[in-house]
Amino acid sequence: MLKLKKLKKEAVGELAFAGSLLLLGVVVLIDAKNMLVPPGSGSVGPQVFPTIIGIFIVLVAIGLAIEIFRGNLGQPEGTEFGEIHAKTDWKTLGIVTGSILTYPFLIESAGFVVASTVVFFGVGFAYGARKFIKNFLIALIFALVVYLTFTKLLNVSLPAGILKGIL
Amino acid sequence: MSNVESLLQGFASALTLTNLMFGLFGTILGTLVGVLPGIGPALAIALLLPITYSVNPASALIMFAAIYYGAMYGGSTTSILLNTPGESGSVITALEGHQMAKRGRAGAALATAAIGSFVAGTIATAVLAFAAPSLANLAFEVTAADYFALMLVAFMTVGSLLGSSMIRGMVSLSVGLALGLVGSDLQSGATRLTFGNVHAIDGIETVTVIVSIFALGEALYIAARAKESGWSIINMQGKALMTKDDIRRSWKPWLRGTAIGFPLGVIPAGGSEVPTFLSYSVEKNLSKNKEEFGKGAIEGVAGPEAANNANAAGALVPLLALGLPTSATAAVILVAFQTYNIQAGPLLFTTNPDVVWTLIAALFIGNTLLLVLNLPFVKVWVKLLHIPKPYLFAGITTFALMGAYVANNAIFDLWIALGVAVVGYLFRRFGVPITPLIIGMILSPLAELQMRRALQISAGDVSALYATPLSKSLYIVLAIIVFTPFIWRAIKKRDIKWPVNKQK
Repeated sequence: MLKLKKLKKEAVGELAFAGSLLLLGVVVLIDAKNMLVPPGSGSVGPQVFPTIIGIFIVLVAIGLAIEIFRGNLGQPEGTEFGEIHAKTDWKTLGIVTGSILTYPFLIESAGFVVASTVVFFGVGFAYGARKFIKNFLIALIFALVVYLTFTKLLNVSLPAGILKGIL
Repeated sequence: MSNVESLLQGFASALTLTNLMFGLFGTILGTLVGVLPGIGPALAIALLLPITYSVNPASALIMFAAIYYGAMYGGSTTSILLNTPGESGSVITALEGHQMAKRGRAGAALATAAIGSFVAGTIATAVLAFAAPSLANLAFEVTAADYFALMLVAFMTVGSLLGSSMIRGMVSLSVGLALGLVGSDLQSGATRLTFGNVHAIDGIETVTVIVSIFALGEALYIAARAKESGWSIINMQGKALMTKDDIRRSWKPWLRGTAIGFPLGVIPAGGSEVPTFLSYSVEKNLSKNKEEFGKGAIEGVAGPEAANNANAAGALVPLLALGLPTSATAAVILVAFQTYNIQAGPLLFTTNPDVVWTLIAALFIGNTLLLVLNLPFVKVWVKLLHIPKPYLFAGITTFALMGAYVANNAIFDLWIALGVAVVGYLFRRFGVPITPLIIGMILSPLAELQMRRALQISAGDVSALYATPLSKSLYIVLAIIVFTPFIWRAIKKRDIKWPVNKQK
């Protein structure tokens, strides 16, 4: 019991992670079981492999949970951005997530340049670029250079959006 | 046609002006990517995959080959001058190389790394040119059951050798295998894990997963957990040159590093960590100047750098001959092949000899271009490190979103990318390695195909999976890989019980 108490603080998050893995395994298994199998799929149909993988995922999830209960917690990885701190910075995470979330809504309606400028500006701001005008200009130039390089030089089509006819 | 003739033809088609431009572009881009933090070679190639839709296969593969080698050159530059190894293969280089740089020997360290990489890359590519076709010839006799066993071995090694713990490697692998299931089953047409979504029927786009798990996962993780810290770049004095004494001390480690790195790339040994570390300890043991190790011994840079490059070339052997990627970068190159409908594997050398031999020739050319380009321009590359990190990482994030979208021009892919980004965040947070997921996702459909082929021949009799001598021995290898950590732990436990060890 003592062990469990000590575990509580650090390990709850990782146990939840193992739990969602278990859930994934169960979903794979249910999907395999309820699959509509077209006739003539032979003795080894489309359900066999997913079932094996589903069982594998469940076993791995249980193995991870055992590892956590033993006290072997996963160590957060380092990044090349800077030092890692122990507490989650929800505000910065919120700004970055929010900026990225605008992309699917903007990319086709407003176009590549607008969507990219918004994401660049938002993520740059969250990471510490606090000079608004400089950040905005760099974001815009970056978006334009990427757009022109890919559409004109490499023949990859990107949505022009509201700037259609201008670029 | 003999291999030599084919290779010469490969050179002939690689050495056109257009292809050379792509090669040059690739070397510059690869070095850039290697020098800059936040992008590795796998991510760089994945981000550039969209151009494969408009460029011919030979040109694109030449560019990717140049990026592949270029990123390693760039990586060693950063680890020597900055002590921030960009990828796992450069960790050892950072160890000795940075010490050399601190003592004012940055030029010699960079030179031995670059020339060592060139020597190793050239020798290893030459061996590759002869080993891959022979392996492919042997592979003609490999049955579906053997292939399946081989893939299981690859899964296990990639899953268990990377990262801090075996179980976490398996976590990554299992998620990748599940991702590979999504979509309609190629053989029966049954839809799997699509939950009624029409977009999901074609499966999840591999490029989307790769760019988002690397770049977007990293973006979220940095936001949540990292605090920007400046880096101290060592100012390099003089040119990147070696003295006669440096060369005398370096050439043997170069060759030994090559000999260690190449074979460990061919067998799925889980990346560049093992060979570089092995080369380092060999050099340390053989050196007459043992006391210099840890304080900047040139052998400790020369050997591991050569091993790293030879290892990368070695990884191309199973990729080309068997269609089996053993590293994240090799996996991305396999995806590039797939976008051109080129099937990597035993048939590659007979169905698309022009493409393969052009690629192999391109590796030679890229390697040479890198040596010529990099040493004189090291100082230019280092200037790149002065880009403020917020802009750099914002740029990577923006570019990754484009990469996720442009593969199919589909917003659906962006939602998948955002989901995968969360997975990437959680993996980093809980110390789960990323490469096994990518390998698992790409090999999942191939493993299933081979398994079903083997079982359909035998009408469902499972013993068909281990009927051949090769598959039998592969399962023995598999058992060794699975149980070695347990045995190792048991031995360690027993050791601790010894009375001598009890005293502290």
